[in-house]
Amino acid sequence: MRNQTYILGKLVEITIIFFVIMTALFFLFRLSPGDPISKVADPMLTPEDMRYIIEQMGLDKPIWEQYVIYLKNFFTGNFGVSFHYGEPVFKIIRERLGWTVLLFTSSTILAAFAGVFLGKIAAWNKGSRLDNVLSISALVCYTLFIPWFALLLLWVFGFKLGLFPLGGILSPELWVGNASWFVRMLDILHHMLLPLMTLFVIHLGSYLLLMRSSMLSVLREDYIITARAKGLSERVIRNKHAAKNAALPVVTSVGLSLAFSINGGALTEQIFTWPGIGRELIFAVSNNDYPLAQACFLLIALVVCWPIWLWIFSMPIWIRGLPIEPQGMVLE
Amino acid sequence: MALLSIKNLSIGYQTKAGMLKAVDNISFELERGRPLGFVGESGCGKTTIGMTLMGLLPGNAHILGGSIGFQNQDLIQLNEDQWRRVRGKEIAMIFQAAMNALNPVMRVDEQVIEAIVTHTPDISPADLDKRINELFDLVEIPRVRMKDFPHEYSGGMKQRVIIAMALACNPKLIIADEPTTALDVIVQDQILKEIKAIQKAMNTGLIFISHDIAVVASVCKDICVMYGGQIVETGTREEVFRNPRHPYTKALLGSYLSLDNELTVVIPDMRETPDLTLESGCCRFAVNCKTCSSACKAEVPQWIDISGSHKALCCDETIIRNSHE
Repeated sequence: MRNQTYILGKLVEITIIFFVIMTALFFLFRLSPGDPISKVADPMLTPEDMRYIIEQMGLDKPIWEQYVIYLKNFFTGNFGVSFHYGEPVFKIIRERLGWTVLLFTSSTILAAFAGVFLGKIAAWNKGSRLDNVLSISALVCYTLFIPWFALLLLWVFGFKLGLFPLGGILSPELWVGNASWFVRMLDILHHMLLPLMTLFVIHLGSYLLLMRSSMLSVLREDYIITARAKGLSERVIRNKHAAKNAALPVVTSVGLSLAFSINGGALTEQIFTWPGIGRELIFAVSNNDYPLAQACFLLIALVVCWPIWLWIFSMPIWIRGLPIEPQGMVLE
Repeated sequence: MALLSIKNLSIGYQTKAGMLKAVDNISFELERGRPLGFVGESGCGKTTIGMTLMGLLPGNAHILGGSIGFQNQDLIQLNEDQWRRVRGKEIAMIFQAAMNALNPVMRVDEQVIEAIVTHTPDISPADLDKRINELFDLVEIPRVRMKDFPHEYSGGMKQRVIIAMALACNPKLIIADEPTTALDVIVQDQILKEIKAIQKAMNTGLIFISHDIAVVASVCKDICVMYGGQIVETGTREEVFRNPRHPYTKALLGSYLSLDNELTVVIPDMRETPDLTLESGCCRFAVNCKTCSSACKAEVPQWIDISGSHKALCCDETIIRNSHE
């Protein structure tokens, strides 16, 4: 009963949050400089044609009426039509989202695994030369400026050495023709490697440092002494008893970083011309494509709230099932 | 032959202030079937002794001298690999459960199974199952609760699991380090009874460490009173309890409030902490001793025999001999 009231409360909260976000998005874009018509329409058009375009976009109506239409459309699942592409925003986002998810989740998961592994080693050998090398490299990774690093990779491996393509997701000759799915997949991987590398390195540093400090504090826990007192080998103590507990904050952090999956990779996507949501977002904002930009930002808000969604819809089911953190599942 | 025989053991911690002698020239013997208790205040070195017997001293601790005879070998000479075969199998430790002694992300039975499997890797699944049920029955935890996580257990149940874990491989010596300190008195009583019963049934050696002399006296036949890293008085529990000779033992036994004479009880005023950097052998209690004379600070205290098993460490023989009330 208490849980139901709690979940209901959360739902109301989320609804209010979304309403505020939608309103803010709507007015912010209308306040921003530049106008969408000049980006789309040819200045040579006749005034009649110009007016026709404006009417098509719905920009001739007073702003409050536009706002009402926008809200009404949203609740009926209609995100509008992109000014620039002339296609439904929903369709554009659906096409781009997959590429972003592919790039971001694979790099995050790889970085998390590598960070847990290296952080564990660093903490276990605290104060050694290995620890110093790992910690300092992690700090460097953590503080790297993404565009600079991305351009550096692109320049060295793409341009100078010519090992990787300079952008895109698929070689032009594979767009047409009937190459097998395996060849296509390899080609996508080939294109993905540099952006993947960029995001991997950026994330690796923070996961490594997080795991290291978490591991160090776990190693001081009493149950580590208990494990030693049982006569377990150091390897078992490190991997089974310490690392599993120490990885919890990293798991949480991976979960939270998914919230930034859409905008987090925007710069990387832009530099490697990866056709994801992040790149679309930058494009929409700089071209005053209101419907597309609004939808992109709304998507970010939706994703940022994902822990809450997860909470509401699946937590009660998880309680006994999740092996990693039995205590975190209790509804308070 | 004694199960465990410690001779002139000294252990120091390397600190910025110099070498702190947490354990100073300690000797004692332990027989199977005669549980030995260590009593003393925090920092008197009782846990250090326990950790030494498990080979689990922290990195800044050094064994400065002495020997630990256990089953025809000197434990001090063991390397890490040999230690691992002793820990859990020959010597096991019962920790204080309230302090996170169980791994929070592992199911309780797994943690006990691990202790068995480590030392008998070729045990058959059927035997393992039998043994684990036996252990949980022994410590009176219902089998339906075996697959729980530690946070689903009460303090008393956690303590029972830790006891089961220590018993897993039928060790010859069990060290119980403050096993009841965090429990309420009723549970404390149950756990103590359990430890006593198990000790008797399995006839293991038991070293019981606590700051509570009443708890120690209820479990152990012999008691060592420790102060500042030294054993200051040792004897059977009756001797130490009924006839304390050392000024510190008296202070310890006098430190109980009672409702009847609340106003007249004087809690001993022991504000000074003992100086552990002192030369080995000096009387550490002199800073707090009411009967301390100038000679005490210059001389090395000697063991003064009161009876065959009862003796106390002091510089002033007359105080020890004439202090019987």
